[in-house]
Amino acid sequence: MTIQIVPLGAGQDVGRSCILVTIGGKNIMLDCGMHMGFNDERRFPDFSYISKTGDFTEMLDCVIISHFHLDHCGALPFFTEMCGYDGNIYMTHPTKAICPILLEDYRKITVDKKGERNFFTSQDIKNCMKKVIPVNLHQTIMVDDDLEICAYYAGHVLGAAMFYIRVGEESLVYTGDYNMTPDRHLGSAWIDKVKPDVLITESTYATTIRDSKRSRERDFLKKVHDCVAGGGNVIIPVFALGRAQELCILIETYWDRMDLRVPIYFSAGLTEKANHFYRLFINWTNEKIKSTFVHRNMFDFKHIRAWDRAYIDNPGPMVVFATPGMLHSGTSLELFKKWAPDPKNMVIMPGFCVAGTIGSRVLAGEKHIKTDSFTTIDVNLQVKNLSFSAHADAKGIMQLIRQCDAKNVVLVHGEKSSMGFLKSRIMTEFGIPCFDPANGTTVSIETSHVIPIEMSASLLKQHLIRQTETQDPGMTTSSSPEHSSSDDNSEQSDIKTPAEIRPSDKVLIQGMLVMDDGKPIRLEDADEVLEKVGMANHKVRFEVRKAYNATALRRAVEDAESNELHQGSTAMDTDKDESQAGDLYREWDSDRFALKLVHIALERSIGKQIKVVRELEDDSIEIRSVKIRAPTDKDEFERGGLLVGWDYRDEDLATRVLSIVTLALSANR
Amino acid sequence: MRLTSLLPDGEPNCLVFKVRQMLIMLDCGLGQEQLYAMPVREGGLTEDHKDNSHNAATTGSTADNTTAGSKRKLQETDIRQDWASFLKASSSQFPTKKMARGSNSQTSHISKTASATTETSSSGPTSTADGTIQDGNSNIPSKSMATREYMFKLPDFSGVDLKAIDVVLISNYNHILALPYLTEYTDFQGRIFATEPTIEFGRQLMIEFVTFFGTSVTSSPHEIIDRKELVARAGAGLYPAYTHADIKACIDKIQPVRFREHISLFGSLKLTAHSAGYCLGSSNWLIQIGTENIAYVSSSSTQGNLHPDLFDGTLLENASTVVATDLCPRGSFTYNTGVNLVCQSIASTIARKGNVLIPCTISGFLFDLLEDVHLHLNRMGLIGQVQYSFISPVANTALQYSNILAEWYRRMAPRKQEMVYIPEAPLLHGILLDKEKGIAKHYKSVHGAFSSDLKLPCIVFGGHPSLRSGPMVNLLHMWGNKSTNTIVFIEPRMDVVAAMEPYEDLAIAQQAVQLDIRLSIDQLVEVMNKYRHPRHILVPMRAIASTLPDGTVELADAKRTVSTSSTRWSAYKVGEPVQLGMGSLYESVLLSEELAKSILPQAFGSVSFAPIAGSLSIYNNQMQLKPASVQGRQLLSLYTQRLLLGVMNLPHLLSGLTAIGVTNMDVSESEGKESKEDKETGVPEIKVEFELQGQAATIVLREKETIVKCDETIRSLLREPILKCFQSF
Repeated sequence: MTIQIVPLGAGQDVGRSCILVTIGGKNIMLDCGMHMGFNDERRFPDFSYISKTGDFTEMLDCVIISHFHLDHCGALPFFTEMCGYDGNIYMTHPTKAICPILLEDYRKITVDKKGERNFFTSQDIKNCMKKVIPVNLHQTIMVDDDLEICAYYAGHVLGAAMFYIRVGEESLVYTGDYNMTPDRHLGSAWIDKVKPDVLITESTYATTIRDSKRSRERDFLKKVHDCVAGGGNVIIPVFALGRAQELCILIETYWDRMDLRVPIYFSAGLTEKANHFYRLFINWTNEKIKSTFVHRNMFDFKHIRAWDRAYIDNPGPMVVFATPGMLHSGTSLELFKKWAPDPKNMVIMPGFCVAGTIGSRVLAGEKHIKTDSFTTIDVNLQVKNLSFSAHADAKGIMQLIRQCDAKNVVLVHGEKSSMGFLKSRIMTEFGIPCFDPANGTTVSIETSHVIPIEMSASLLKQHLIRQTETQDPGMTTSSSPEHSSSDDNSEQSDIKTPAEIRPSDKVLIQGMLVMDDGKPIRLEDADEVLEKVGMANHKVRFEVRKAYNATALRRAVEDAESNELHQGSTAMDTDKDESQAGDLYREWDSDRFALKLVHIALERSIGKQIKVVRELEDDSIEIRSVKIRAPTDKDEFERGGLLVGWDYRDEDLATRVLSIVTLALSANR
Repeated sequence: MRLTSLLPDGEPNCLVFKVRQMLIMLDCGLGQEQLYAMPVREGGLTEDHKDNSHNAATTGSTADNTTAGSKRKLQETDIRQDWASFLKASSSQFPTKKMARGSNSQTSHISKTASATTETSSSGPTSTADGTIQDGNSNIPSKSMATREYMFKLPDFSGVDLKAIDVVLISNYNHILALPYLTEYTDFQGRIFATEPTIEFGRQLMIEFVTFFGTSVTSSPHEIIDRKELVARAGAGLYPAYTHADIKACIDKIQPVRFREHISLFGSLKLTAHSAGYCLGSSNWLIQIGTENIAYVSSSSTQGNLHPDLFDGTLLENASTVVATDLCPRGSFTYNTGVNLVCQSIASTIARKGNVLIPCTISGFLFDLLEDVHLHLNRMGLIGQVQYSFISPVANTALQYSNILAEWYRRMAPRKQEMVYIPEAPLLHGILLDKEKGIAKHYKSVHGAFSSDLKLPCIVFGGHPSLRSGPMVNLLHMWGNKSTNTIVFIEPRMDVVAAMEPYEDLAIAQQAVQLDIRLSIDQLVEVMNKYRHPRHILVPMRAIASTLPDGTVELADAKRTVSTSSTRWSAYKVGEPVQLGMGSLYESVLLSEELAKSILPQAFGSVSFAPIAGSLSIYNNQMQLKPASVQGRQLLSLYTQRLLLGVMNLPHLLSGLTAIGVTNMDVSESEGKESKEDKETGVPEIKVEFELQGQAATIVLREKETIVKCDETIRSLLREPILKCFQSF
């Protein structure tokens, strides 16, 4: 079986995450994001890849959204309402709650401010959200009879989840964005050891290993404090939900402790609402907030007030959290334009900025930024970049791979150059294949497929007993090298290696698979099955004569034992010399001699695995239904040779026995 | 498979279930019957100063607790006086009857006077007599008998090896109260699973339990309770309540799960919680072991229009055995019929300026009821005058917590889950409790702010439903003498008559509308029929009409359902283990792709067979069948058993022989008498004699047997034509 992965977005790139996965015949779209850096059709993933005719509902089994950031869900209304996808969409409860707000926010900026048309409407967002099926963490959802999905906590933002997807015995984990270190309001990502065939992980910070959280926080607070102490304004571009809440908690506690009076504002009417979401979804935050919420809700801020545009001309220092986070439009851009020329002011870019946005150009250190053909911003203010963004760093990514025990890794959502570094590290450290496909290229991963069956307990018991009884040394070695043949083993059997004493973890099983439509496949005892279905079992018994050259045999044996004995020079050929045969076997019972030899050979070769019974009376040998004996009646005497008989049931055993007998009786030693 | 119930029918659940070496405890409830035989105690612990020190020492969890305590002390005097006079007035009638119940009747007279005098003197741990209520059966040292303790009867642990319990599954907060005894007082070391809301509401219920009935002596129950005895005599002995510290330790041991989260233990046991629709986070459990599926159906509800997530019947789809517990007794009020009565009763009381007392725990369907009551009062135009009060040590937590459980609400229910997307508090009390509106308030106890805030008329929700302790006792005293006031009983599971015994002569109007949203036996049968019939269904004794001679039962539903050939109904009762035969004995095995490719199935009608041989590796209880190694294959060939199916067909054989170059076949038929030994004499046999490559060979055909005699050198040649006559494996 093969798992196919095609990134439509986020392949060697950050933004517009959209990954198509084919697993066990099911097509799944992971995230449906938009690119912030583009304003043309490149902003959405190329959905025509999925279906040229546009029948997406037919093609896709489900769409899974990992969290509410626009680069992960921004194209969803476009895909459902304008492209016509009408199938299942899954996301967590907080994502479902917050996602429409951000979409609406974004829609307003593009349509109302930029005057773009042919964009989804508010109603589209609402209709789209109605199709969403919310999921709870760890809850296993059966999308259909074969496809199951399960969400795990990802920590990145409120409601961010990693998804475990399973079809039959093939499985895949998609991380979305995640964070392996807990922060002030969210816990860290965690996943069961699900052993997925493929792990698709983000790699935003593939090459960074960040310094300790505490020192970064101290750094951040010191910068802010220094700036306001010097009478400057601080602008912190953020997205309304997520990072903003953590920074608010951070600044709030700092202001409390230092007893600062400098006003803090939070732009966008979202704040109040956003904080209310945090209050209602407090179960998705970390343990500390959860346990104290009854007495004091962490999201009721004392120092932080709502921003009003009139405040922009207020004198004196202030701290403003302004949306959106990449300075591409809205309040943050407006404030930035206003404050950028003054070197007393400061901008703190806490997040990651998509290439092409003003934010990224500020970070790149450009001093004169042209926003459009008429305006140029002189950037004189202090620019600080704090990587507060809650992505896993290289260490975190490695940790997750180890945690879930993945068999293959696919990197997405990162810069190509840093991906290459991480890729080689993963391959050397874990020895597993790692891929970093570009957009539109397919990765095919072969998986070994297993089929669940039910095995009769009595059959297992029967085989276990047989195994303990025969005490076979070859069985206990779980992976015996192939070059050590069975002959070697049989000769060294007296010396026990540790591997032989170890309890066996492998049992050889034989049985009959019964496949009945609609019922699970069962492994049963062959006889029982056939009896049940009423099939007549026919018995076939073979009795063959095994001819041998007695004289040659004896001579060979004697030669081998000692070269001095020269007895029995009488030539005897059981096949030809019929007249002589009658006399000679009375003097020297060649058959008994032959039987003895055969018995020794059998004991030596297969005696440890199977019981070889020797009748003392006539020296005949019995191994299950295989019976080797000397001729009894006259007719048989006349023909000569040993007689070997067996049931067809033991055909395989008989073949083996016959070959041993042939070897034992051959004069050619 | 063996099932034993440790608590009598009608009490909360506590069952022990043994299946394939796994010992599973299903719920761990505390018997409530004992409560009614207890003396009445005013709002929580009696000794205020001791209460304070005790709280400070053991709780410490909430800072408010101690402040509440000190406030309470200020209020102490006036309430105590009222209390004393009330008891004086009523002491003549109530305790005599109260003690008529339970095993303690012989001491009733002493206790009557004792409790009365103690309360009158309103101080000190003087009441030795009260201790004697816990009669001779009690195994508690006399030291503790000197105090007025509430004693509880535990589930009968005596027959269970508690150390061997692998897993405890909790279905909802009603069945969790005895868990701290198990985890803190015995050598239990298994794992415990419950949904997040169950853990939180369970914790709240325990806190309420300890606050109302907890020990008032400074010595901890750990000193009093003999661990060994607890286990050995759990069924008979009586034990004091555990402490706040025990609750914390116990709750920390529970692992939270979500609905449909697959939990895999020891590689062979799979557990999944499914929504039961009864309250937030209430769950039924699917236990999968090997290929056996057992469904544990605890308190469940198919009632529409409630806030918790819907009953999820998918666990029944593959279940071969169903253990159904906690069914609604016959003749209970359903939610729909009862809720109108409750609303009317409340409305008429409010209309005549009376107060309404509703003894209940702050959880479960109360949140729905509150909405219905509020709507009704709104319609009646009474809303402006009324104030809701929730009095419980956990009122605030319960009310707030219930509003942040968006994931656990019923989907699609109007204004529940959708509310959080607006975002608004999904349950009405979230809005009512809004400080500005002040329609609803919550208090830790009747002491403190409650009396100063009090606006009449008032609807008070609070505990304990048994009316033996908690705020309801004080309020009954305050308002019980006025017939304009009403006490409305809504909790199922409780005995209204027994609860009201001490208060019999009070003028307060009584209304017993015990809303029961649990499955009735009729609903259970309906649910079982809806999903694929399980092979075996176990129900509690009270759900059956009679036992039939074959050990199965006739159910007490409308249709008098009895067992059918496919479904067997039987009953369990306390202390009597029920043995169940294991059905199919199969193990789950994974077949590797490599091996699967090598098999050659042959179809026989709709069924296909394929012989298979491989090496079964066992790791972490997970079995996988893979192709054998080279050595393994050699070994396997020694054990291989081949099979031939069908009947020997002479013409086929002959033509087959011709095809390999046999000529001059001599076919003779005989009566088979010469074929020596056994009974097969009389069976005709056909003998085919021929020569091949200069060697003589004989094939003898009998009905079920073919004997081939030939020389070794030509055997492989002969095999082909013979096998062609059959289907071989």
